[in-house]
Amino acid sequence: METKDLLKGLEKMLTTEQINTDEEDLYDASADRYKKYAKVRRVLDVPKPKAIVYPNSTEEVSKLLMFCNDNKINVIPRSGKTATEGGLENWKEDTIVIDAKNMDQTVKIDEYNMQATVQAGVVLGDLEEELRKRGYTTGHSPQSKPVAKMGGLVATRSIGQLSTLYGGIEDMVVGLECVFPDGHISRIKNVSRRAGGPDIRHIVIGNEGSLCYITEVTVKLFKYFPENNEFHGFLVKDMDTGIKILREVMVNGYRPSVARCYSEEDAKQHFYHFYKDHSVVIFMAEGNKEIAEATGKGIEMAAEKFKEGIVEKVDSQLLEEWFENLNWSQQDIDDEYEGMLENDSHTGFTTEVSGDWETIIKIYHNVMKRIKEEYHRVEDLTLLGGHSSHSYINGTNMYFVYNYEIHCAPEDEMRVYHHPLQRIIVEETLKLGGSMCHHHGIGKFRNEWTEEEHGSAYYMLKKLKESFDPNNIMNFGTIFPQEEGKKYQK
Amino acid sequence: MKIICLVKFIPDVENMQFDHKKNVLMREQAKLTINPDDETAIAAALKIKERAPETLVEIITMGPKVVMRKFQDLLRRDVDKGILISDPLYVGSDTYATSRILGKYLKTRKADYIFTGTHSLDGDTSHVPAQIAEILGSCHMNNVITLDIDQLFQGTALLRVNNEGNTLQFQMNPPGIISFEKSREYKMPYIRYGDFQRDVSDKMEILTNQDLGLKEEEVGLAGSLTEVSRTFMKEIAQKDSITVKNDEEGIEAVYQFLKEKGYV
Amino acid sequence: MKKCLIYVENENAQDAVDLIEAVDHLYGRENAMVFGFGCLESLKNGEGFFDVLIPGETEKSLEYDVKNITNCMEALHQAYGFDSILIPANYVGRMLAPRLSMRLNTGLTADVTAIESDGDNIELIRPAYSGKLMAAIKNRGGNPLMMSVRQKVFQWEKPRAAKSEWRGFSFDTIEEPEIKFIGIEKQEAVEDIRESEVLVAGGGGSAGYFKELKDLAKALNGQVAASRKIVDREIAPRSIQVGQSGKTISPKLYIAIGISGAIQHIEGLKTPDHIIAVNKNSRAPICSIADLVVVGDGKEFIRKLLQRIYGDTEHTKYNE
Repeated sequence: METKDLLKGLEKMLTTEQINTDEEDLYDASADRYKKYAKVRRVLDVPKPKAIVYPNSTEEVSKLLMFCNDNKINVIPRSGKTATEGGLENWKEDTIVIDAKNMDQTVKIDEYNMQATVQAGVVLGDLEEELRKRGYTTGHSPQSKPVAKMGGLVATRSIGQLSTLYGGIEDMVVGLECVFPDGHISRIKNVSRRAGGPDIRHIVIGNEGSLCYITEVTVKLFKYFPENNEFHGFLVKDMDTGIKILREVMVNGYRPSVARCYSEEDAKQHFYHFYKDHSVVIFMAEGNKEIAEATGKGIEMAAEKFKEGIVEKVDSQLLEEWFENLNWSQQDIDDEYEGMLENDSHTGFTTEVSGDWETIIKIYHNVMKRIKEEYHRVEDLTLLGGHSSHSYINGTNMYFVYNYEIHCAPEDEMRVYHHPLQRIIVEETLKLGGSMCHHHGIGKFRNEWTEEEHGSAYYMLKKLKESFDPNNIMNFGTIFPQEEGKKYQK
Repeated sequence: MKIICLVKFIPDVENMQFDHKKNVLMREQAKLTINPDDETAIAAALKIKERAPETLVEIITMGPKVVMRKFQDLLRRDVDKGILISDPLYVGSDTYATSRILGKYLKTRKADYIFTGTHSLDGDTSHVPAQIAEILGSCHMNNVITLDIDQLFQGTALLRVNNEGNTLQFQMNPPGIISFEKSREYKMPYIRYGDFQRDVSDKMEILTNQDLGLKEEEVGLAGSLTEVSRTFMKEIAQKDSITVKNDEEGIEAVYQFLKEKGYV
Repeated sequence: MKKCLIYVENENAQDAVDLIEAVDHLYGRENAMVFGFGCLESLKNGEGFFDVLIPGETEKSLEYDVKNITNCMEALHQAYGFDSILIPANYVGRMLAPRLSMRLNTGLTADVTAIESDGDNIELIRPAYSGKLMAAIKNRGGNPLMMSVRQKVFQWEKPRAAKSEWRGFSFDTIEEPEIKFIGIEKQEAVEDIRESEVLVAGGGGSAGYFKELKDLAKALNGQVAASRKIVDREIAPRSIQVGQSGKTISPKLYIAIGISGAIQHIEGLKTPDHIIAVNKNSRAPICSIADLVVVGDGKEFIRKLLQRIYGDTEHTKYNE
């Protein structure tokens, strides 16, 4: 479609302030944090979208989607811009970005029924701040909290640092509202539970913008007792011991809000002042006084069981200070941008996977071994480690972290560094039956493995896409592999 | 114009680990890397070649065959020719012997300029360029930060040199040896992804003592005029941190610390 | 009696005088006859320290003309047959020493930091591998023993003795110089913190008094740097930000005031020789890598330390 016709079409539905065609903003919108380095160095290889639009209401979103569906215009749903896996990257010439910026109302905070309803453009950090004033919390605390917005957080099936107690976003969402490519608006009502057929919320939660556009979300509230927070930490002999301690706590029914185990190298970057070359296990117990204390006791008992593997207990004060400084801020992001302009390196990439208790530690060792033996640029790695940060009764995740010095042209960075490393991690994980994406989503850069990830169940995902987005206008390339998009993945 | 660059591959000194149990510096495990000053020298030559593509840039290194891979990476840039001088007889050469070996070869090559680095991170004697200059009868300059490329094509080298924080200007006529200091002015271009494995063997030549024809007593340990009788570690104690308060005693401790280390 | 020749450079004659201390370590001062060679003006500073002073005045200035200095010193050695030749390892010295050693076909040890000698067996100690390793070097060539030595490694603190003997020498092997010294560039005060040997850095804790850091930096001949928190608050420009996303620095001395030591900041500190951390929190991560930790308020620390450095009376500004 001709750009001027596209813009004319938009102007029929929106005011001029709602349509952004600024060149810099469009360049910025063509990729997300996945290609951050290439973006800063101005060597992105993907097309720019034609416009960014800011609808004021769900009705406007509906009109926009119908327009795009009729004219085969690619739609990138966007809210907080903190995507890290190419979910916001643009692979089509005819694209508009629908940004939830103007839909930033907190609709209702219902303390009695413990629910809060917000529009997609509300910043989680802002909601959280408001709730804390009243003694509540969403329990959702991803690192991007100060910047990320509710629409994206639900679309990506995000998870926060306190998930071991509060769950992931899927445990927090009550009802929601979303719009489909044919313009249809679906409101899923707020009930505590129902058996009204399959749980259709799960078509939306985690769709990564490939099926619909989320406009409103209702989440549960929890009472907030920061005064009862307890930190427990240990230096352990190795990751194996650390994972065993995590498992012990979980299978005995305790729900610490934070349960983490860092490998030595990963520990170094967070805890260089006390890790002493060891793996580090960290717990936080949270909640009302009785529960927090009981959880703390449970943690101590687990530690006691594995005491031969424990080198030393860590001072709680140190952990508390560390935890307070964990989250990103907009300034962190801006600073990183400036840093990438000046230097030939940046904080590295991550690939995070999940598995059951037995498998996860095998995956960890296999990955470490294979990278050290096979990866052709292993000498450029300045950090290679992993940590488990979200545990369940039946397993946990493993978050692989790698930093490297960039000894290649900026446009080659991904294919020289991140892609080969990601490939090793994904392959080793899928080999042993784990999942290649615990919470970062598939985005566009793991879509070659989507079918392998789901196996015979991929059929169900595919059918959803065919039904809801027959014209393939929703976030082309996300989750579902596209032949046309392969050139941007190399 | 013809420029010959001398390059040395050194163990990665910055990241060398120290084995506290055996009390040794683990040199063998350290990976090989290009000496930073030498890399600047090559980058400078390549910048000149970018301006005048007919410039010939040749690189020479002396070392064991294991440097081959990294050496070839240099050839994957716009370098025209690479010479690896390697012979077991040369092992153990001090700077004097090394200079004689390189000097013997360089005498057979006519170059307008020879570019080298000034410091090497492992030995850091800065001997070789000056000694080669003496053998060739050329003039030589250290710590060069930049040279004026336009003037170079006019037939003279206008050099800016770093002398302990001051910048001095010199003029040198070819032939001469210009030793660079690591500089942000000259950056080695990247090899593009497609070129990582490009075959550059046609640009390479390996020379042994057969080709250079030095006598055994002139090279290696036999030809060295200095020898390392022993090595030892400086006392790299695990940092024993001292903690003081902001009171008179504490401030005095800080002052004495600063005085002792020469900061006041 | 051993004969030693020391090159006296134009810029700093004291460096050459200090090398007499090295001669003392080699043979014992009383066993050596120490010659100084250099330009007349510089040699005057050597009066009373050297036994013999030989000025190298020629029509052309020898200042940076390494080839001709080599010619002169070769001629001197042919005339006197020195047992050792010592050269200060400054800019000219580092080009001169290797050249001369190759001319005289003798061994040269660079950057000597210590000497172990019993008169006949001499070991010259020098650092290698960026200072991680020390090597003891022996000279296998005959005479002269040659070495270059860095500033302030040795210091000759004895007072002037008897007068020096001034001798002339006819230098007739001077060639037409091939290198022309054009001049010294005017320094534009471009303060790149990466070039500074001493950095006084302020972190979030120093926000209230950040501008006082420059007084301390000045007293220590250093520069001011900042952590990200300070730059975020626009108290300092990004050009002096230390850290993973800022500049990577490797100073000799790093004083971190009110800096907690987040890893992103520490990543910017590559092997400083000494770290002093000033923080109210003794368990701030940065304290674990500091040589000296001062627990307390940074503003007070600066004030008190400056008082100590300058002496109470001179800087009343700090006597609040």
